[in-house]
Amino acid sequence: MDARLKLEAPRLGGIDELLPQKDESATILENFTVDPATGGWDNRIGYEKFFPGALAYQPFNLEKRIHSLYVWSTHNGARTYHLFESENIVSQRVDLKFTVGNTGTGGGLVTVDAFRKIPTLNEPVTDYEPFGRYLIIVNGHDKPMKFDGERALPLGWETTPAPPTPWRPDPEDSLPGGDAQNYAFVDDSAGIDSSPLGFSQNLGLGYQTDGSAEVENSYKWRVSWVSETGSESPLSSSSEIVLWDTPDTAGGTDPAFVGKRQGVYLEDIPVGPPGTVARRLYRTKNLGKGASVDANASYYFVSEIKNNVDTVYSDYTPDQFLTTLSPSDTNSVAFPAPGARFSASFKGSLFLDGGQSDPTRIYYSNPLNPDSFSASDYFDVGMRDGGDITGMFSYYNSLILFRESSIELVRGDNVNGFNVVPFIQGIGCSAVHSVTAVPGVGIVFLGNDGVYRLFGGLDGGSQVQIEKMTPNLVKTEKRINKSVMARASATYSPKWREWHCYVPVDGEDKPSFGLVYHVDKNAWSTRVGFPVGVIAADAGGELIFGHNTGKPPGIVTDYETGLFVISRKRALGYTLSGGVDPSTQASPPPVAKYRSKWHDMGKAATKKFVKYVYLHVMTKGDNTIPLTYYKDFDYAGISSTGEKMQRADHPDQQVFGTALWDTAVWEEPMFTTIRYPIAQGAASFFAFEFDTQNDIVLVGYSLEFGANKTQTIKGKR
Amino acid sequence: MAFKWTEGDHVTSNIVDATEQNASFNNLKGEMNGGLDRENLPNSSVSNDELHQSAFVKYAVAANMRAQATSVLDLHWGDTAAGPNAFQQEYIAIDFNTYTGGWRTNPAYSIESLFQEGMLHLEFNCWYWLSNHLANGTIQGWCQFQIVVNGTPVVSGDKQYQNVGQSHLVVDIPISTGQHKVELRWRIKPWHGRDMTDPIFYYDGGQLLALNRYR
Repeated sequence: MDARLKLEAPRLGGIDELLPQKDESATILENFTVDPATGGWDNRIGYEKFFPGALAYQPFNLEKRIHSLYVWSTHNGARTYHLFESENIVSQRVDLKFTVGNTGTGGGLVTVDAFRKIPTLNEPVTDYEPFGRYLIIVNGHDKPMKFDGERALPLGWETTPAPPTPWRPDPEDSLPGGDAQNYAFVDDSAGIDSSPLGFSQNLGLGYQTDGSAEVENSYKWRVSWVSETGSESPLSSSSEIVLWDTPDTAGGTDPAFVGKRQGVYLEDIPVGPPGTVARRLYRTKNLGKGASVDANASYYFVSEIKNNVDTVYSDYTPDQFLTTLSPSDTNSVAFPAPGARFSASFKGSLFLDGGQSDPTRIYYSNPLNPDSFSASDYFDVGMRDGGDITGMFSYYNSLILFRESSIELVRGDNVNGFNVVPFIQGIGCSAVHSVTAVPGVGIVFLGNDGVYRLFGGLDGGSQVQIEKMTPNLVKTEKRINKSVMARASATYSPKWREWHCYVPVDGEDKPSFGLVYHVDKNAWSTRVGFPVGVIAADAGGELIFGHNTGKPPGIVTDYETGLFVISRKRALGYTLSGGVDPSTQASPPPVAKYRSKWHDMGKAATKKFVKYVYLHVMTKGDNTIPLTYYKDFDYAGISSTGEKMQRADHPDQQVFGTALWDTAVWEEPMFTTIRYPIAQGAASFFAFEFDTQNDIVLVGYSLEFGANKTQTIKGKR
Repeated sequence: MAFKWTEGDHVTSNIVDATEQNASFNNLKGEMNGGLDRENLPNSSVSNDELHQSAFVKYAVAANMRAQATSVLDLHWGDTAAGPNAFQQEYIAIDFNTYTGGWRTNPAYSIESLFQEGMLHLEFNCWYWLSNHLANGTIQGWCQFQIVVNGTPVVSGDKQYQNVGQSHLVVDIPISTGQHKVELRWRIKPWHGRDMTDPIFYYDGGQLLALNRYR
């Protein structure tokens, strides 16, 4: 055969929708993954239940659409939390749950938080961010929380503590009853057992005198809460001022109390919110004569009450023991971002956005204390064009701030201060849950007009760069419903070495269409028929997704609900027979569709006569795969007969269904070429296609064609 | 790791693919050989019948602990400098000839054992007698107990002022794998003017339990 009349495509690429298409690219590439053994396209994929052995979809019974999903792996994977939010048929609200255990017929579900807001169709869903041993959970509506695997506790300090109520010292024993008492610190020799053994005269508040004259004393107190993260709440306002005189001998006071210091009994020590493990007490030094309740004063650390139960405290710590100043009022303020939608951990601080009511502001916590925020620790990026903040992501030495139409970077650290710098205008991202770190590629995200990657850094002479990854997906990009792009969901699987992004397309309100980037081939394919509402990869790279529809209300006989896994299962989910289990029947495999590029064989104007298509495949068995071929961008093609994926000129390999145990030998897939004859007239452009539910690994192909001097005729008038 | 899903699906009329078969088989085999945890073990699949006794815990006990270096001493009541002893009682106890203050470790009873990484739960109970009240009601002293692990205090009881009482100490501490020593210490108020031969303090019936829960 004349070599000039043969076109070889030994290695296949991904989709290219930009005409003229690149060599070895595809026009349509649906439901394929990369075969690691050959680098070819492999259609052996599907999805299955989260608990494959469970009855029906146990433990998922009432889950409608799954809105959010996060796989939180702790304890080296031994405790993995599959956290998800689903609409509950009964409550019409969203419940946040995770799977636990394995009953053998399905695991259990534990509810972390119930009656949460159902996100609207166009707003981002709940954002999860690990911070130390906590998982920060924010959604812009419900109370931000931190989850430690057992409990969900409020994030930040919603309120400031109330001040304590000090009892007034009564050194002259003249105020029986009421909030006053004589709490004098006297010598053991005084014969009054008012002080326990071991207490010494230098304890107590107030001036100690020789009794020659009365001396006025005055004090105020403040309180703060301490959470289990070590974060300290804002300080309470100051307590009432306590005033008393150290008595002198002239006043007729019992000599035992003359000139002596006093303890002060404090009550109403405020109990903190859940997660509070201690309270800290601060006090002024003696303000002396003439002090008023609003007197300015420095407060000093007195003591830490190491529980969240006691509401009383006896303060007898003398002034000379007070050495540590209290935090300033601006060191910790009430939680500034109760409506936070996005969170990120960066350089030991927790970054939160201001929420819908404060959409251009970023707050960050004190280092390693996710609950405490200083008054001045925030940025406002609203000074520049770019729109609201739509997400954030930590990357290398920067925190990437995504806005509607720009990207900015937060630089610096807690010691030298953070600052925010613009990175690029005109490219934004409203699909925060598409932002993913992909090894060797960078930060991949679905921008407003395609998929981009950010790579490089700002340190060591490097620079951050941005690049569009989908310049050739011109048709697919246009299908994306930009109104609800915030609901796009993406993840990277190191097992499959694929970046999966599921987006709403064709005007739909929920994700239903998958864009898959194959790292090994630097190529794109699409996933169709996978009901992925939200997707996440676990530590092992398994692709777990929440159903985009779930169980509809009412009595239904056929539905899917809960979590599923993209695997090698040759099924596109399940069909419930009869509605009430007893078994979930696997549905047929997904249809894999491959349409080659439109070949012009080097010169479109010359008519070609394609004689054969040779598919280079791995042998798969007796299931046949027919081919359809097209010319000149016609809608309709001509179908060929199906061919078995067996070597043509050798005995067939043994197959399941006919191979006999102890007789047949285990086979290995073999590289072979399947020839399809083409009966087609002259064509300027040629393409072939197969769509099949049978297994195929397509490594490459070649075309054999003839050409004469027939040229395209003159154009029409 | 937790769950394992399909690695190879065997479809009718497909070749009997050894590679695919091995992938799916080894996927499960590998999980069983080192990947079993609470995520993939069915609930209640491991019960007492499957577990060796003390598979997750180890305990050690030091029993019948009592004060050391004691002697039989007389305590006198109604005693004056001039008159005879109105009442006299023998006590087994320590006096200030043998105790001058500070923490005293009981050398006769301790737990020294190989513990595994995890938590160490310690409990101590005993009764004590303390001569601390004079006839006029004046409180004279106190006693206090403490548990130390490798010489470091991990729990201290409060000072006890009652004449007769019980001490109960409980603490849980993280522990590393290795040989560890758990000991009891006590102290009483230092000499405060009493007769040096007066019986002052004694404790007995003590039991120290160390319960090691493995991580």
